[in-house]
Amino acid sequence: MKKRILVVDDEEGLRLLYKEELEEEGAEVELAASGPEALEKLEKGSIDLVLLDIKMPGMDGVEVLRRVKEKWKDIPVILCTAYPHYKHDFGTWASDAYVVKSSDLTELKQIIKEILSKT
Amino acid sequence: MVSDIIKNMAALVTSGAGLRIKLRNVAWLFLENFPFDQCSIYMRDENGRGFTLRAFAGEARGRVERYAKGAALAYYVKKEGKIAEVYTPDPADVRWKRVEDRGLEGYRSVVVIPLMDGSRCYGVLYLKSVKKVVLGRREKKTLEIAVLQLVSILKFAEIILDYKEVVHDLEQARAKLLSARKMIHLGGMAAELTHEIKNPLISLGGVASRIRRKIEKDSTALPYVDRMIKEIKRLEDLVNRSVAPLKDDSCAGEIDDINRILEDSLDYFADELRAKGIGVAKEFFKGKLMVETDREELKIAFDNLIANAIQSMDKGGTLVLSTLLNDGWVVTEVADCGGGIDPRNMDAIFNPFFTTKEDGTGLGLPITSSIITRHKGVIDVDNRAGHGVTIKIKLPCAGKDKKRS
Repeated sequence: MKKRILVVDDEEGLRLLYKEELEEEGAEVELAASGPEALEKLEKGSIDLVLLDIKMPGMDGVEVLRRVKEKWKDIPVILCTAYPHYKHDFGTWASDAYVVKSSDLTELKQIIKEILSKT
Repeated sequence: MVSDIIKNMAALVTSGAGLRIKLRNVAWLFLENFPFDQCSIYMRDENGRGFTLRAFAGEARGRVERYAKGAALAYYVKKEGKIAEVYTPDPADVRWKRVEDRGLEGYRSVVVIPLMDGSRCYGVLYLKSVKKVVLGRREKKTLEIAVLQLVSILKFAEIILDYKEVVHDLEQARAKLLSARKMIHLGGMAAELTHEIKNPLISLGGVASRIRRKIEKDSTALPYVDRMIKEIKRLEDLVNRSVAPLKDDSCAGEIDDINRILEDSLDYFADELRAKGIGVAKEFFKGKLMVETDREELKIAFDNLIANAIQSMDKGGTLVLSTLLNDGWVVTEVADCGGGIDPRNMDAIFNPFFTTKEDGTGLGLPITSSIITRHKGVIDVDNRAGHGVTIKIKLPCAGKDKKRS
């Protein structure tokens, strides 16, 4: 069965890039441009993993992470951000992994694979 | 009548007029109140070598504009430190007591008074009369007081000059501060901009990598795509090294070992160091050197320093990294042998956007410096022009063992 990944990022270019790259790896990819949209899609069910951007207008990634972990504590969340210094934010500790964004997606794909193999 | 000059001089001392006008008025006051035909005020040149006429009133005869260093009466009174009263029966005579002075020509009585403040001589006052003049006791006393007032005018002018210099220096310092603030503001704007650039850049790089995988292996477009990917990677590295200064307050209070952070930074450059034939000498403190740090930020600081060092050593050489403990400070030194900084540029190296490199941003050192400052540390540059640069970073030690190593 294909794994379903929810990509949450306010940058359209990045959403598309992740979608294409992850689909090539054999995953099914859902997209959300904001925190509320992501929570809506999670409500519908059958998401195996969330790829979450931190810096988004409105509800930021740390807040989305908190709500996801409250409601669906078994869905793994990978925090994804342009800025390495969020790593030390207590709010991000609840995530399953933390990835600094890069145009080279090798590391991200590797982490996704590792996490999904455990579920 | 004679006391009028004292009153008038007193008014002049504190008046708002410039020195030139004050002295001209003084010259006329002396002429009006004492029985002389000519009054000249000579000031000593700044180098003390000559006396130059600064104010003049009365008879034009025997007017001397300047006494160069020599034996004129001005030098006589300066040397003696007292008044010279000269009487010559013959107005054609220009000599008095072996002193030759062309200013004596045409006069029978001359009084030359040094303008002294303690041992300091500002100049001399010349009073000349065509007829013989004998001053009474009261006149002499009044003359002495008037001369004291003249000295106070000169001293006042000197203080004003010092004051103006101080104001000028202050204004310059203020201008410097303003431009530094502007630079900090610009630096902040640049940091904001790099933030905004990062996301589209990742998108661009990701798409370029996708193109690379989609095109045929023997496609002529392949080298172009590779070049694109390489350049995007370079921009990404640059942005990663610049994102720190958006946070302002002090750093997050984590404790970490500086040796480990340095090793991490070095790892990041391992390929580049090898490619450029640069050796690395690690002179690390044996044991942990704990500092309170935002690890990622401090790594950015070291990355910048190491990147600068590598860029300067285009002919290879050895990069020396050392750490030690000194009086509660963790000291890290990054030393290159890349020729050093042109001494003319030393004042500017911490200014945002100042760069001598063709593809430099001028943000490396300012960002590094702001990171170190946020860590309550100090950054020092030891520039050995023609040889190399050593950047010394001192951070407060967070460990229990703060003794000298």
